[in-house]
Formats: sequence, C-alpha cells, structure tokens
Amino acid sequence: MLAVLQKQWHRLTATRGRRVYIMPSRAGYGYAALILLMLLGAINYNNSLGHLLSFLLAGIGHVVMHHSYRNARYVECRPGQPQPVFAGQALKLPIYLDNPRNHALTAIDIAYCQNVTKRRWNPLQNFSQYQTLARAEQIPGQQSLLLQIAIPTDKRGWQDLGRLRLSSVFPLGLFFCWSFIDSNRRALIYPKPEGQLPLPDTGSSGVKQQQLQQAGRDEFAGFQKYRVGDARHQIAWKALARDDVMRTKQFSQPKGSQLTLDWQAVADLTGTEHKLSQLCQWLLQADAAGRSYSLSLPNLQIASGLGDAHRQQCLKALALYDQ
Amino acid sequence: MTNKPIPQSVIIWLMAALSISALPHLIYQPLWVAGLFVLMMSWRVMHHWRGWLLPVQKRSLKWLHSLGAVLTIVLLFANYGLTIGRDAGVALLTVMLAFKVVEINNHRDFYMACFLGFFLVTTNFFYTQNMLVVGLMIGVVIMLTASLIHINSPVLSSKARLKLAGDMVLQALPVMLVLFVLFPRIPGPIWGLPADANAGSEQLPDGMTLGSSSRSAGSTGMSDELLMGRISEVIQSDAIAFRVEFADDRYPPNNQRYWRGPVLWTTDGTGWRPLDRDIVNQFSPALSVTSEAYRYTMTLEAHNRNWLFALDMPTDKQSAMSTNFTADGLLTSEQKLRSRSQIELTSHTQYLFNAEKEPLLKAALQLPANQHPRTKQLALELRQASQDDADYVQTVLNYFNEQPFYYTLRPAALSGDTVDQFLFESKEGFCEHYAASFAVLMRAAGVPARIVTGYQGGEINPVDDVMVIRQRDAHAWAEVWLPFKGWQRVDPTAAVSPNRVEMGINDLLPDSRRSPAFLGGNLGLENLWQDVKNNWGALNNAWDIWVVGYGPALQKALLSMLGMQQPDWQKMVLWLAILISLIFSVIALLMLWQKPIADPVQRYYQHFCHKLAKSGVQREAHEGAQDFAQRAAARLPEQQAQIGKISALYRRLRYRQESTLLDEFIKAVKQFSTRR
Repeated sequence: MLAVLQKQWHRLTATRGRRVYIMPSRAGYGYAALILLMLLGAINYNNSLGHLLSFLLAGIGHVVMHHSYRNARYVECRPGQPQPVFAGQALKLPIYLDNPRNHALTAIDIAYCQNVTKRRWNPLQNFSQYQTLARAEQIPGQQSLLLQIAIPTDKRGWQDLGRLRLSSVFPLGLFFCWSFIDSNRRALIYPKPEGQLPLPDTGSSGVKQQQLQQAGRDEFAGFQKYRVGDARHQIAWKALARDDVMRTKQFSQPKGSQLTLDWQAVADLTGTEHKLSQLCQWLLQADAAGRSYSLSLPNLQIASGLGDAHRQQCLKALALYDQ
Repeated sequence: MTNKPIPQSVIIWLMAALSISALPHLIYQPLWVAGLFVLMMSWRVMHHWRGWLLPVQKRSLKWLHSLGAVLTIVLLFANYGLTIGRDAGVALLTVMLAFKVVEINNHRDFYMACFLGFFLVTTNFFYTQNMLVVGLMIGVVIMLTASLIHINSPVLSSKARLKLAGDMVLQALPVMLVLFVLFPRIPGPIWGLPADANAGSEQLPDGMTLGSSSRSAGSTGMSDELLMGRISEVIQSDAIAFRVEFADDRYPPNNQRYWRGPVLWTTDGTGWRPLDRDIVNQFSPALSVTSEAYRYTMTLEAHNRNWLFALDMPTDKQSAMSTNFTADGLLTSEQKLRSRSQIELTSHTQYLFNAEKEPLLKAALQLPANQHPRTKQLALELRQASQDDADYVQTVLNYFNEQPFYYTLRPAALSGDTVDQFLFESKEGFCEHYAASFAVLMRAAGVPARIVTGYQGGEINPVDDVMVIRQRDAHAWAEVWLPFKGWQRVDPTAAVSPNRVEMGINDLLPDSRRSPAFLGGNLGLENLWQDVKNNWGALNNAWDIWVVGYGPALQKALLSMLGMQQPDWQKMVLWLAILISLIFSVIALLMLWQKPIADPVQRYYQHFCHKLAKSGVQREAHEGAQDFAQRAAARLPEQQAQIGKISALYRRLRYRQESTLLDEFIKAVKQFSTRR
C-alpha cells in the first residue's frame, strides 16, 4: 500500500519537475516585524500616511517574493564529471548553469552537503549542513555559465556527489529561495599518498624475477611502437618529426631493479588505510621516476606497466580495495 | 550571511537616503541633534574619502563613539525631560541612526540601519502629511530598496539597481492601494499618546490676556491654566484650521461667518478664561432659531482639543460623532480631536439664545475689584447718557468708532492696568483688545457680557467650492445678554475696522502675505498666481480629506458608496483576501510569463521537443536535432516516421531556409502525438 503511494508520489514529483522552495530569511522576519511596528504606530496616532507607508512596504515585500522566486526558479544546473583526486584534496566539480529565460538571473549560490542522508526532522536544521561553495553573480538571459566548485574529500573510494543546493536571496535578501539538484554523479577518490617507507627497490620481494628485461629508463635499448598509455616523456619526438611515426624510447634496467608494490611490503604498517596510503605514495614516486611497477594486492594482481592508463588502473584498484 | 563584509559604496547610498529622511527633522530639532547627525555622517564619509578610521578599527575611537552615544542620552534628557514624547523619540532615533551608520560593519548592521531608515520616514508623518512628504517617502523608499539590492548583488550598475527598485515600488502600488482602502481602520489610540502627539505649531489659545506677557512667558500656551494672548501670534500663520463644504452652494455672507470656539467668562483684570466645565454643564442651553438653516460639512485639523468651531449656533448634527452642546453655546466633541475629523452640521445665524433666563448671569457680570477705575468711570458716564442697555451697547460701539482707535496686528506693549491703558492711552490693538475692553465696559455698567473666541471669515476656493478657514482668521468678539433677546453678538472690532469683518482679515494683512513680491504687482500675473494657488489648494483639500483624513468613518462611508452593505471588518478582510490573491496571481503571471520566441520555426520545434519530453525523451543541451531525432525514434518506435519527418522538415527550414515548408512543419508538429 505504502509502496504504491510512494510510487505515485515519485511519478508526480517527476512530472512536476524540480521543486522550488521559498521562505522568509531572518532579515525577512525582521522586515515583517518592522511593518507590524510601523502599523501599530500609525494606528495609535491615527496617522493615515503611516498606514500608507506600512502598506507600501508590505506591497514591496509581496513583490519581492515574486522576484525572488523568479530569480531562483529558472536556473538550470548540469553538473559535469569530476576528475579523480587523492583523499584530502578538493574535488573540482564543473557545473554548468543555464538560464533559459530572457532576463538575467542574479546572485545564485551553489551549496553542497556532504551527508544528505542524515535527514533531521526539523527541515531548517538540514540547512546548516549545506556549505556555500560558489556564487554565480549574474547569468545573462539565454546564456550559460561554467563554474567550478571544490568539494572537500576525506575518504578513498567512490564518493557520491549527492545533492547540490541552488539558492538566492536576491533582490532584497528578504526571502530565501532554493531548490535541490541531485547530481547523480560519483567521483573516485584515491587513497591519500603518505608514508615514510623507502621504495622497495631490492627486488627481494620475489615476484617475476625471470623478467630480465623490463622497460626502464637507465640504458637506452631501442625504439618501440607507441601504445596508448605510454608516458609522454618517453616519446621519441625527434624521430616523430623525421618520419611521422610515434615511437617510444625503451630503456633497459638492471636485473632486479624492477618495482613490485606488494601488499606484503607494507605488512608492518597498521591499518588498511595506512597500507594503501603507503602503496599509493610508492606508486606515485615510481611513476614520477618513470619506472615500471606492478601492483599486488591480496585480491588483485596488476601486471607491471608504465604510463597514465596503468597508473589510473592501479590507483583505482587502491581506491576501491575492499569496498 | 550575517557577518559578511559589505561593499563600501553601498553605505554612501544608505547615508544619502537617511539624510534625506532626516532632513525635515533637523530643521526644528535642537541644534545638537543636527550637529551630531552631520558629525557622524561626515565621519563615515571621511572614512571612504580619506580612509579615516572607524570605531571598530581602533579602541580609543570606540570609546569616543560610545561616549558620544552617552552624551546624546544626557542631552536628550536635558532637552526634553524624563518623558520620551514625540519630539524626544524622533531626536533619539535620528541621532542613534547616525551613530549606527558609523558602526556598520556587516550585513546585519546594514539591514538594521536600513530598517531604522524606513522607520525614520514614518516619523516625518507625525509632523506633516502633505503630498511633498509622500514624494520624499517614495524617493527614500526607492533609495533604501536600491541599497538593499546593492548589498545582495554588487555586480548590478547603479542605474539597474534604481530601475529595479523603482519597478518594485511600482509593482507594490496595487497591494498598497488595496490595503489602504480595505484594511480595517481602528480608531486609535491603542495605548496612550505622548502629550505632544498632535501638537501643531499654531492653534487658538483657550484663554487670553492683554498686554506684554504674551511673548515673554514662552510660547507653549497649551495648558488650561496658562492664559496667553496668542491670537495675534496665531494670526501670523497661514495654516489651515478647518475646511467647510456648504450643501447646495449656500454660503453665509462674510459678516455672518462667525465660527464659535471657547467662551471666556472669568477675568482677573488682564487675563480671561473659560468657566469651569462642571459649572457650565449643570445647565442646558435654550435655543430657538429664526433664520434659514445652513447645512455644511466641516473637516477640522487635529488640534488636540474638544472644540468644534461650529458656525454660530448648531441646531442639528448628521454625523455619528458624539458631541456636546454646552450652556454657553460651544459645540464640543467627547473625544479630543487627535486626527483630522469630519462632522456634518446644520447651523443658524439668527437665533435667540437663553432669551428667557440665563443661569450664569452672575458670572457674566464678574469684574475684579479695584481695577480699571477709569474704564468703570467711563462706563457709568456712557450708561447715564443712554436710555437702556441696548442703547448703551450702541453708545459704546459709537465711542470706539468715533474716538481715534486703530486696528493693528502689532500693538504697543501694555503694562499695568491693561484695559485702562488701552482705552485711554495706546488706543491701538486688535480683536482681543477691543473684545476685552468692550466686555469690561459692559460689565462695569451692569450689562452681562462674555468674550467668544474662534474664527471669523473664510475664503471660498472657486475650484472646488470649499471654504477654507485658516489660523489667521482667528478672532475674538463679545456677546451681551439682554432680557428677552438673550445673548447678542457684538463685534467691537467691526466698529473700529469694518473691513476686518466685511472683507476678512486678508485685506488687513501686508501685501507680502498675499502674493509674492517677485510678481511685482502685475495684475495678470497676480491673477494667474491666484489661479494656481486655488487649484493647488483644491488638490490639497482633496488630498487632506481623502488620503490624510481616511479613517474609520470615511472608510465606512466610502465602502458603502462602493456598494458594500454595512461594512464591517469581516467583509473588509474577505475582500482584502480576494483582491490580494487576485493581485498576487496577476503579478505572478506577468513576472513569470515570457514572450514567446519570435521565430515560428524555433517556437514549433520547441513545442515538438516539449511533447517528446513529456513522454520521457528529453533533448540534451549538446544534442543536435538529428541525433535527438534518432534517439527519440529509438525510444518511440511507433512514432518513428513522424519524428523523422518533423526533424527533417526542421533541418530544411532552419539550415536551408526553405520557408515554403513552414505550413507543413507547423501542421506536422500540431498533429504529432506521443499517445497511442
């Protein structure tokens, strides 16, 4: 029974489009109190023009409500896809704001709430969880605006971007008008790279010792045809200029210097997160050094490799480990 | 939002608005109010201009600022005493607002100052309610609104801000009008009023005194005990006392226009005062009328007294106002006139008042012993020369007429026995002097007499036929009681200066009071000036009656006129709700409605997209027409053909300008339906 009602309700809200809410702001309540006070004074003194001014202000309050609604009602919001970041870094979420109207929309605030799931019974308390991250001062009629908001991150893994709140108090700050946008987006957060352990360079970690020739950068070993994902600094630009074929320079590495980022190597560290952080740190160091590396997690093995695609694959594996 | 810093230029706007609304107050308030106001405003201006520090930026300045606020309170008490009345309240608000402006630091302060600014505008209405002040009100409201817009959006230009504020004020007018007309008016006051609530600058005193004390004792003259000869001061004022609209355009002739105010009985030799109300109210008047009646509607300005200034003897009252007609012929209201009030009356100018018997005869013969010896002597001589009391009245009037008495608004100061000095030495004065000395002459000869104060005259504005009685028409005359004739009006001033009564005070005023000097006495220009003045007067008259005077009584009358039967607050609130919802919807429609796109191709294509969106295929912003059509066709296979046709037509219309296809396109879109 309840489920049927709920379904109907969802259908109704879906067809009605976004809901826009409007409430008097604190200044708005002050304004109402001011009008009341003025009216009382006017009545007490039998002052006709005192009545007139109170009524003019009441009329302005009424008109402002319409202006405020119109300003916040029509703004359309399309969140873009954010690039993955490391935990603790700010996630940069691009947001397109469209104004389908002929008039400009002014002073639109974008606020973000990390944990929408924690609903409170008092709807006003939900507000304090929202944090204003950016403001579109003006979106001219029939135009769009690209904003970028920085969302704080703290945990690795998928982060649901949840809800954005578009709000405005324009024009007089007497009414607070807002609507919610469900971003329907999630962002990948890599583990925070940290840890003091040195790179496990010794080769004693015992994985794939038979691979003697590993792509490294110590001694030049010839060209290889470019493959997507190869590091840019390895591209043979001069050769490319000569005959328009993309090649990468291959280097030979002494036996045993290949890098294996092994879960066992960080076994001494306490806590999964610390282990992942250390692995992440090594991974970045290896990548920066241009050395190939493989990743070995208890549930996952990634073969040795180099380049953006490889790095992302490994980082993703770290981010989603055990999730 | 509360602690955000604010753009600096917005404060300049706020200060401009506040200064304009404070300006009328600064003129009459004590000098220190204006001084502190200007000082504080300059401080803030110098902060912008030269970077002077504000109280929040330096501790010592903060102390100075607080000290200034304390000083204000001290000055306020020194100036106005311990009770906060109207003037003191306004002084406090004005100065405190200026102190606040220096402190404005965040949004919250700003809103506070802005709201107090709105309040400051209202306070102007406690002093004047003319059209000029309303203009000022609208200007200040627009400026304050613009500054509120500024603080919420710093990117708008000042022109755009002012335009938006002006638009909002314009759009607010319908609600304002409906509320003004229909909001149930409650007769105030709800709580007590300060003593100076409706104090005008001039009004008729309730007693009078001859001689020099009139100016030296200050000029309050409001207390029942103080007797001030303020009529001559009142005459200096062109302020309107009341307006009268006569029914059927029948006006009394100028020499019959006596508007009765307080009746003065008791004298101590220099001053005159009314009898105690309790004594007078023990009796009731006996009035019989002989002449035709005048019907008229009076609109009295608030004067915080009970007097109603009826034309001579009021015999009938058509209004609901509860009044009392006293035994000395004064029409009073139960309530003090705290606001402009209207009353409809019928009066007669020929009458017999207490002809059979006057219960207060003794009071009408009272004279202080051992005073006015020369006057008493003269009275006896003149009485002996006359046949009876009526003849004696005429003899005294002749005496005034034949002796070299002069009517002047600026008589020489009198001292000592003022009546004797006036009659035998200075021989120059105005109505007060003549009325008082005449009454003394009467009483000294045993003829009962009293003084009536009020207004004499009145100018008819040819534009709206309303008679305007101004403070300068204030007058005092005498009444004598003769057996079987009752109280008879005798105006000794008329014996000295017939013009005063025949033509009104206007002719006796210096030319500069009548028309401005720059017209140079040019008759054509002066007539034009008079025309302008008449029209302006009529406009003000309508304004005063319909807008300023709009109260519970007028509201009922107007609503009945508009067809509401027996208006009460329930009906008013109901209509208010209906009309406000109507305005609400109209404004919402006007604001949310958007002009359709001019290009029909574009418009109908959007129509088509809308239809598809309803069935769940939303066109993305980045999606071209063709891609969208393919996606839509995949989702709605049954409409595939139609979708393909419409988008093909659209592309040909839009990108190949084959405008002949328009009709076909429109028809296809209209027929298109996603329903099965």
